[in-house]
Amino acid sequence: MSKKYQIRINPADFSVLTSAIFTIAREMGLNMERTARAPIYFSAHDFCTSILNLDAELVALAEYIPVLVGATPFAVRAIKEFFKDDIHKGDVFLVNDPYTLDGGNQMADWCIVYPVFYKDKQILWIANKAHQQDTGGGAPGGYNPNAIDVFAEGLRIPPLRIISKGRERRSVVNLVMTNVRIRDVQYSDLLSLIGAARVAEKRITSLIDNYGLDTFNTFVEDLLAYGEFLMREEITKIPDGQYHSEITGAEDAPAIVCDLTVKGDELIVDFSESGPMSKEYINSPIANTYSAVYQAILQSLGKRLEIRCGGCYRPITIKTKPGTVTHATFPATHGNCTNFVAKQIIEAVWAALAEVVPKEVPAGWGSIPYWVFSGVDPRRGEGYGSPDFLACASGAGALWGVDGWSSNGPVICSGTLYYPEIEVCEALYPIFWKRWEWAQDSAGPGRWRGGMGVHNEWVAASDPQPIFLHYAADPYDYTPAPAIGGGKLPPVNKKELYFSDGRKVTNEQVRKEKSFFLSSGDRVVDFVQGGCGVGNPWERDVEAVVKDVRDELVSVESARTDYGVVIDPTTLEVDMKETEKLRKAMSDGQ
Amino acid sequence: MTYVIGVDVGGTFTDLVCLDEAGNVTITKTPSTPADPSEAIMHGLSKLARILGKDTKTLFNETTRITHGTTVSTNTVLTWTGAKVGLLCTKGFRDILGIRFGIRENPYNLTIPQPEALCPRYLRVPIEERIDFTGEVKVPLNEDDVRSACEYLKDQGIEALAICFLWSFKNPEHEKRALEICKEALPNVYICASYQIQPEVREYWRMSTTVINAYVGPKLSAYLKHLKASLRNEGFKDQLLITQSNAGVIYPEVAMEQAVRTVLSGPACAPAAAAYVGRALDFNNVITVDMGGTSFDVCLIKDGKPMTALQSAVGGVYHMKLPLVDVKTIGAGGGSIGWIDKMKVLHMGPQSAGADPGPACYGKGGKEPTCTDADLVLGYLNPDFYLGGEMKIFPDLAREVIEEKIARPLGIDVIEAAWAMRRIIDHHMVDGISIVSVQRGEDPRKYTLVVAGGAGAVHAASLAQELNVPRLLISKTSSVFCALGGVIADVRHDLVRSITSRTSVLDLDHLNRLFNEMKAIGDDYLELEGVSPEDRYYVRSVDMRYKGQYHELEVPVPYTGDNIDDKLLAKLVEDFHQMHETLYSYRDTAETEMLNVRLAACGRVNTPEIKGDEFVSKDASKFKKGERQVYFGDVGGFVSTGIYDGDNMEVGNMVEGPAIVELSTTTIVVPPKATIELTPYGSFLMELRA
Repeated sequence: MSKKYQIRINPADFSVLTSAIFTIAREMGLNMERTARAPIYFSAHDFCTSILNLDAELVALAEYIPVLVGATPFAVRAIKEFFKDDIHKGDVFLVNDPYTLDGGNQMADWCIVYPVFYKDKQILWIANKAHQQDTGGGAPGGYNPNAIDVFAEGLRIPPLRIISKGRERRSVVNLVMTNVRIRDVQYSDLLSLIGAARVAEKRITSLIDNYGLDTFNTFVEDLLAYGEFLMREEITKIPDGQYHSEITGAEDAPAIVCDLTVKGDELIVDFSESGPMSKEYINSPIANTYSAVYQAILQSLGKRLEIRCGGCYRPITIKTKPGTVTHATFPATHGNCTNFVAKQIIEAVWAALAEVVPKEVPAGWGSIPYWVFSGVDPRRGEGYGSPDFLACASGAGALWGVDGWSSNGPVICSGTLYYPEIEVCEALYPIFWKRWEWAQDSAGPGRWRGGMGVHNEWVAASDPQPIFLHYAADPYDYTPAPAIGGGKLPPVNKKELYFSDGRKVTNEQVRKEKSFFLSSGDRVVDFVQGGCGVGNPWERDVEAVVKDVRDELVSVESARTDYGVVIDPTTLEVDMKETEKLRKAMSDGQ
Repeated sequence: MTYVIGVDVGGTFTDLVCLDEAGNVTITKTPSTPADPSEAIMHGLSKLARILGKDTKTLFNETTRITHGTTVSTNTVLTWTGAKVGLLCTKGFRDILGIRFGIRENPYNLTIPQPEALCPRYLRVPIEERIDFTGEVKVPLNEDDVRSACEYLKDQGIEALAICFLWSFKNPEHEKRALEICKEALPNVYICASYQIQPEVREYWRMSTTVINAYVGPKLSAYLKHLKASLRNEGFKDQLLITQSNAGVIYPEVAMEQAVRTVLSGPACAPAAAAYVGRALDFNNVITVDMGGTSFDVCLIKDGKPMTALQSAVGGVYHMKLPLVDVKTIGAGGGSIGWIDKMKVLHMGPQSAGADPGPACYGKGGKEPTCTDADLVLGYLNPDFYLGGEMKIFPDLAREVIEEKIARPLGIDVIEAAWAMRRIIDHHMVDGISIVSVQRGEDPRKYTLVVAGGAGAVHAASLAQELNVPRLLISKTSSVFCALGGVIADVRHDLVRSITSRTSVLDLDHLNRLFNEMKAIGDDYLELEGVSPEDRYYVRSVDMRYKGQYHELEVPVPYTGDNIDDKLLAKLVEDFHQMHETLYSYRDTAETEMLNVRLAACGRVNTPEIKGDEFVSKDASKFKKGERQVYFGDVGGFVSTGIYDGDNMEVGNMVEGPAIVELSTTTIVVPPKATIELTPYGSFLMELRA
């Protein structure tokens, strides 16, 4: 290791302060979760809390949606650069625009930036980011597949002071809130973001009262050095070399090309060779690209780390080329970047690492073919709009030694998206659910199988109002990657509409038309894929295959053709002799 | 003389407390007998009789009530030894239980496998039926589906069955009918339906709670039947009552039907005992802290009432929605192991040396430095008087292991190392106390710490200093708090209904109807338990939130016997705004919603207050056993410190810190600038000066 790392403050102080600062970040998260009003926020946990040093490096964070955390340093840097010396105690800033000073990852993700003062000196930043229910623009919900430029995607908020020395700038906040569709909810959620930061500031102040500012400042540096040391140790374990991957996955999507270089304890992740920006809204602003790379590395090389902070990012260099899909430039559309492109970037990093350390890298997660529905609920005469979270229940990829978790998607949330209960959905939306359960054979086979995906099916019950349905998520013929070490891919997603007048919209038509109006009785049928497998399926433990068949997760047919296990469909007994023969043939066929 | 007896069965010891009508407390302990816990109970009861100078028969004749806390249900879940459970669910929704609403507790560590559901998928049988959000039947119950499910599940050899359909809390018709059919078809199977267990909105939580009930029900029932029979054979004819996670007690027959209510009853009763002990000295706002060998439990008690929570996860992954005493447990105990990572950062826990091999100083082969080893090196513990001298501990072993594993790698001396270990473990506990107090908007400086557990009093004063808590109470009965909590517990039935309405358009008649319906059910239970009307009381609350929020706050509703009117409703809304502001630093202008309404039907048991003993003397000098060097951080080193015989000290005895008060069950560390006094109520009161 090129540098010597050490903790300079008293070891007991270090341990105590580390646990204290993470407790504060987590309390912020809990407060936001408990007080938020938009479903995407409390249910999808599509938010993050972070405490940063004056150089905008992450000191502590709470583990909500992993794909957002790496983006808060960008927001803080944008505020710093724009306001320079004009930052005062009691100020609160707001930013979402990806193209002003690279401050945002996606416009629906609003970030409040809160300078933390101790006495009269700024010591830290708090940046809390949350996906908003709406961000203005040409379509409700912040996802506008028909947008031709960033202006059509939503209200661009460059670095903006919304509270000045403790006083809300009413006219400014009003301007912002006037440009979103469900303003009262969104205003509440803004209060929730700021409220959480205020509570945290109080806690940090009392911590410094106890330990003194000098000790605290040294501690912050020590903690970052600690994170850096831990990550360098992990990187050192990988053989030096250059590794390469290319992810396309869907017909129209530009290729994500990842060249990954390991050199001692340093990692260089280069996306310069990726394809040019798309006319679809799947271009990734740089903050989104960085955040996705960090997530991919923390979940593979860093998955056993006890501490995750900005220090872990120090040994990682990320390279991008402006104008490519991984470095979108003004005025390119980008609305779906946190879902789709972030997922591809994560997969690209995993696929490159899988070349050299296949046992350390998770296989790809199922993609999420969800609709956004919106309209007026005739029961209350009030507007609503939300992604169908139940169609996000794709399966996780397997990891060497562990089956993928069923219904744990999307990967950018990694189990922080809490699917709302059917009873909650039916009370919130004029929709009647028919089915939501695991779909047989939906996972990628493997020695360790991918997690299961779901069947999701519902009927509109909104008369006399229509339900506006529009397809905004991953290209649903997307094939996830990587399947590792002989593991297999899951089947592709499928969406169909059955209208009450007998008309049917096929998978292919849905893909072309994207937007529909439904009235009562019209039915939506989704198949949501599972995750990718790891290892040769014919090496899977026979007992595990039998269990899957008994649980009707794997069909008798798939047990034979994919896993080489011959099972009697009525008795569920295994024919061991036939199984051995079949498995040998499979293995010889390799 | 009549008696009330409390029995708490723990993993190692079975604790017994006997309270007579004059308020005298007698305690005893006996080793637990895990194969048949009732053996230890019977043995403990005869031991208790001997202490009181009676034979068991006479004691039973004079005993009006035995309360019993058991960990049978908890352990059944934690060790995966419950019943083979089947589940009937709404067709199309077979995996609600397995999906667990999508949560992965650790989103980064992907090496952890997904938890297996307590009811495997092949035993989850979809039934054709559907009720909508208004409670209207959309698809009638297909009774043939139910019958063939019964046949299938019978063939599979299930021992218990749970039934949970969508929207059954709005309209339980389908669950009721399915239950009838199943009871007939499966006469030997333990069966429960979600409308009986927790008729509350959100199907995952209702289902998971019902499945846990089915999973632990058969085992708990068999155990309680056996215990009842054993007591009866010995001549006990009066009431046996079982403690629940809400710290109330219920009839064994009710506990058998609603077994899930006992799943987290283990630590639930201790706070009530702490409140009882605090009340004797007029301390009604207390934080109870219990530090044992492997864990630290903390609970906040405000105005004499322990804080409650509405949901929990058994073993961290099996969710249940039921009101319970909100005891926070963290992995900090005497056995917590100190270790150093690659970057020379010192950590304490979460691994624990447990009781075997235990801390290095036990001399039983423990090779890791623990919190107890640090306490010994720092002079807090007496090597010749550990557990009252019953167990020898070895300071040299503690010193060696800390030197080797902590001090040398960090380049500091062994005392510094021990002190660092102690500060870190103390911080974990301080953090735990902050979570239950500061994060709830409560200022710990206004509270008294009530200390329990073998290691509790060794550390409590440091925690109090860190949090600016002015005083601590250490009761001689603290080692049997759970049993004592059972003795003084009221009968309690928690009921719930969902209403789901904006408060602005709330139908007050409907609301009052729900409360009256719950009261009638509660009264039926209390009737069964023989609670006379004048001993009954009711606790009401409503879950409220801002329109669109997902999480609710539980707002208490005063019980007057009258119906709720507009004026009271307006007050509830204002109370909600205030609670929200206290907790989350802002109030909103958004509309408010009411989601669930709750009523607890309770039966007061008449508990005598603890009897105060006569003042003897302020002077404690005759109980001073000697002096030794003890380390105190606030004076920066070792100080010659007086050691006192706490078991024999007399009421009114007062000692100035620094001092150590040694009892056979614990050691009280009294720092400099603190005083400690034995109160008339069998507890030591320590006051800290700023």
